[in-house]
Amino acid sequence: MFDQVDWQQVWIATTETFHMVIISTIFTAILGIPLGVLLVITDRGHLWENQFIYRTVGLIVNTFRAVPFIVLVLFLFPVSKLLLGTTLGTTAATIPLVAGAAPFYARLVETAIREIDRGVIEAAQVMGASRRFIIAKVLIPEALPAIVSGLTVTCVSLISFSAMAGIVGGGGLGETAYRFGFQSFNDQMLYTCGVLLILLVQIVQGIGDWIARKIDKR
Amino acid sequence: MIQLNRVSKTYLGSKHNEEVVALRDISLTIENGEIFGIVGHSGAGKSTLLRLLNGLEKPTTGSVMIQQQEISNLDNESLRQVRQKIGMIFQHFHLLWSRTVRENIAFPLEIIGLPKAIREQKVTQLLKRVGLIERADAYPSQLSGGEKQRVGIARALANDPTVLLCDEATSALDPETTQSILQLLREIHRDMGITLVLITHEMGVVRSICDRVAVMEAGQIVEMGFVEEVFSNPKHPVTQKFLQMEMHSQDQLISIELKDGFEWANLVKLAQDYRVSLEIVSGRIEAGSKRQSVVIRFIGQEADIEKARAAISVPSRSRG
Ligand SMILES: Nc1ncnc2c1ncn2[C@@H]1O[C@H](COP(=O)(O)OP(=O)(O)OP(=O)(O)O)[C@@H](O)[C@H]1O
Ligand SMILES: [Mg+2]
Repeated sequence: MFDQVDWQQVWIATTETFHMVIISTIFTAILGIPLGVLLVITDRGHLWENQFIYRTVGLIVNTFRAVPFIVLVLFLFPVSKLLLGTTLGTTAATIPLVAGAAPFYARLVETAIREIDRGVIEAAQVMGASRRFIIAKVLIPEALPAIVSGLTVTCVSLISFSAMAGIVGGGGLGETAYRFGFQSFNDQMLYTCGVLLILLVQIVQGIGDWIARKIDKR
Repeated sequence: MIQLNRVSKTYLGSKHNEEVVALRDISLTIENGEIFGIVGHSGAGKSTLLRLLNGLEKPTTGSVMIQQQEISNLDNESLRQVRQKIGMIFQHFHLLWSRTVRENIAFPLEIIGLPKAIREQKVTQLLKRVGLIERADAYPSQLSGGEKQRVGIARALANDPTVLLCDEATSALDPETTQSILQLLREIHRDMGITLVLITHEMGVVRSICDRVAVMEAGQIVEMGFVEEVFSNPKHPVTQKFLQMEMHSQDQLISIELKDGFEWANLVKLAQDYRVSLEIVSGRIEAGSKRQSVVIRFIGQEADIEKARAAISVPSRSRG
């Protein structure tokens, strides 16, 4: 039944997808969490009120979120070229992936942190905690379950984004499904890649949910 | 010593430019080691006054001095130093959900950068002090209200403060738990000689713990003095009303034969309509059954309790 599946190719594609998704998820978290924190604390009446930063970050985040992902990929070709010298391959694909996912994730982190009762933050201030201390020991830990589930959602989006990025040269399961499946009239190849993507999403969601439940003490 | 000298506080309304005057020209001295109560209706300015004491709010005019230090002029760093010596507890506790009881109490000790070994020692001491040693590894979501407030108190005491501010610390608790928390505060005051400033809207709390009391109304202190004097000879109408409310407040157990078709939902409405709080002590309310007998505990004004009782019980036939 799987006689027309090139398992070697599928294996390569799977590792490429893993490569893209893992790296871009890591960078999305590295960028998205500080941006999300910034979007909360620079808001009016918060820890570090600063209208200029608040508006600027908000504007950047909204702009990136408004551009459809596939357009973003094309827009960012020059950036990949500049930074990596190429627009092809999994590493080059992570740049538009992060650019698409980090602003989305920043909003999720923002929402997670805003959920924290203001009284709790005030209690820390009253005890003489500095801003840095409050961010590290109150905002992040208290919002952690939601920050983790947000990252799960983002990672799932990154899997589907990575499949799209693959088609314009990133490699991975998306590209293999398209080139060796769709364009080569090889349905078995097409559906094998599709099923693997679905499986990947299920696994990521399952692990993310498990971790979030584990750390949620509410 | 805490000194407020001609303090006013005006908030700017968020939308239009209307101003909210929260405090008007308040002067007040609280001695070291005193237990000072502040009562007043909602919106009188009690919380605002308390928040001036740890610099959460700055006065619009006037000065706030704690142990000879002007709070409103301090830079961030010195303000943080001063705050470490002023504990505060809250109506809704404001504990960290992600930390155990032990870790919550350790929080202020982490702020001052105490080494871990000393921290643990101190926390164990505090846990014993508030009677929570068995619950040390529980999370706040697993605690009762009274236990949460005990954690709040331990946390507030961790840095050996000289002042403890309590903003309606017992308002979310039932009468019995309130008493046990007040008892704890009394013991802490006795052992540490700490200054206690507490806000409440229950005169009972003032009577049972305070040395002096200030009554607030519309941003001003309308009456202030030693508790015995104010209670035996209240001068201002607001004080008189607060005392009246306390005197007529009753705690009654009444056994009732309920009207047919009475349901749980009616009970909630009853409490709101007659401004009483009630609790079923024995018996059950089941939908659809007739003439159910229950014993209900009512807390509220005598007249309100009577009306509420009449509204739900079967008229007694014996009275003709
Ligand atoms: N941050 C704020 N911005 C604008 N107005 C405020 C602010 N904080 C308090 N106020 C106003 O100041 C007045 C006094 O408020 P405060 O919270 O001190 O009252 P309170 O006596 O503590 O009342 P309660 O018993 O309900 O807690 C109120 O009219 C309130 O609306
Ligand atoms: Mg208040």
